[in-house]
Amino acid sequence: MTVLATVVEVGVATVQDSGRGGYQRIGVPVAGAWHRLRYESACRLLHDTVDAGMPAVELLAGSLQLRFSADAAVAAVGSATLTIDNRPVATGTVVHVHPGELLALEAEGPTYLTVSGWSEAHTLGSCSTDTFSGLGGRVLAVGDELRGEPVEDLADRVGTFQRSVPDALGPIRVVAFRQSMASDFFTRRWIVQRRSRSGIRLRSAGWAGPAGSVDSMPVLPGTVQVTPDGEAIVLGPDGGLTGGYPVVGVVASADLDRLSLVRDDESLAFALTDAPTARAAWATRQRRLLKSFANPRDIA
Amino acid sequence: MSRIEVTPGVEPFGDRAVLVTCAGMTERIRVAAELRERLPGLLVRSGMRTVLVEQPEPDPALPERVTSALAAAKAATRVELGRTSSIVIPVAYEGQDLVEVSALLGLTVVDLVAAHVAQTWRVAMMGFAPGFGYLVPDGPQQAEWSAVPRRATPRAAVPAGSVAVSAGMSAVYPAAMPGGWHLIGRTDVRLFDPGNPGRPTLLDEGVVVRFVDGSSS
Repeated sequence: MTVLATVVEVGVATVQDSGRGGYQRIGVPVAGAWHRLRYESACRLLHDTVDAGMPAVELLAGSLQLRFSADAAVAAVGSATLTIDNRPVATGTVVHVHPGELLALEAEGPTYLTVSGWSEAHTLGSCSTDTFSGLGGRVLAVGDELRGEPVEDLADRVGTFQRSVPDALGPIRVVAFRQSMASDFFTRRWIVQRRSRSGIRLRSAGWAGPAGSVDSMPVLPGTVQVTPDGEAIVLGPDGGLTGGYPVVGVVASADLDRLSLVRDDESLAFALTDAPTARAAWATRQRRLLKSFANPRDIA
Repeated sequence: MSRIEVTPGVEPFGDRAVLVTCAGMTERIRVAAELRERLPGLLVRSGMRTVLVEQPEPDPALPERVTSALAAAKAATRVELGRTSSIVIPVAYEGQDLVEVSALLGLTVVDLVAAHVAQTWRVAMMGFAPGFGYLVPDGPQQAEWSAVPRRATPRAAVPAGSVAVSAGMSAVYPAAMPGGWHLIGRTDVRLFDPGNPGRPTLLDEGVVVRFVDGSSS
């Protein structure tokens, strides 16, 4: 394994992949990229596929600067500006970085970077960083290295690009659970109090919350719980797997990515949907993702 | 005796999971075992009275598959529950809340330790953190465990290996993490080993646990 690149500067960044599936039964959070579509896009741009354990840098905030020491093809997807040796470069496109060059990303929101030849150690089949239990992956720091085997033939991938696949607009869709709190929850605006990969905490003026708790039950990312002291919690990829708070519903899979975009103090609205409608929205998302890529060599 | 007596309720839980709610924990243990047997490849996780059947991505066929599996399980005469394994965990009973817990139970510290050791526990469900099992009394209650509530203010960091009780249950913290249970002891037994993908957890649903007085170190 050789050093492909070294971290020169870094904001809030972890190594992620598509998640540590299969161990949730014994309490291991799934973790993985928070904005799945951007992660999958960065993988597909570079590798044409998304395989288990394919590493990407997840940059949630701030900047990432990497000094390259080998030739590599890279793809950055997200809300960020990208430069190589201070020259502006498009995101959503595979570009060639040469030894000695400095790649710099300035992120306004979640951004994913894949690097050809880069490989990471796996914990329980995944290189995802679980920020709650500290399991696997790594939180990137200055001086950290991306290692692997440099890929010789980059010409085939460089220039591959993606037409932007925007996130849905409007209220975040939630499949209601038992609908007992639905009428009150869905008519309110919710203000973001705190957020992390474990979850987003929200408050709404005048909302008192339900009394009491429920038997501990399994929960999953996107589950919306309400606490006795008046908070709503939307679980993220590193969120706990069991919950004792009453559940309002679960965010539609097609809208999970949008939870990674919310900002402190942002006002959110939620819309009630049902499982079949949410599944149809997911199918639409997948179709749009798969149709979004183009390799200029394929265009006659 | 081992049949599923009551048809559990099946509800959508988001677009990639369904939640099965059972009449009680005994029924839930059977339902979880049946669904794991009949739905290989799907993730089946247990709550106290609930079972969540989950897929990584939405699949319109999921609710029907779960309903069919439950119907087939109900029609079957026998439920093959997996072999039950049994684990002994040595404990140094010197937790920070030992005196408080004994007072809550109306016992001396010596009697509290004796009751915790005499109690047979069973893993009702896993969750909260990697390798964390919720242990419920199995067989006769050796103390009024439900008289111990959760702490009013959770600790920001509970040391790894802490043995705790709360809300009628006991548990061992596999790693240092925030926790709201009362701490009565500590063990050196390793509960979670991510370096062993074939069997990363010592505890699993249904495992019987006994504690013995005396640290393993």
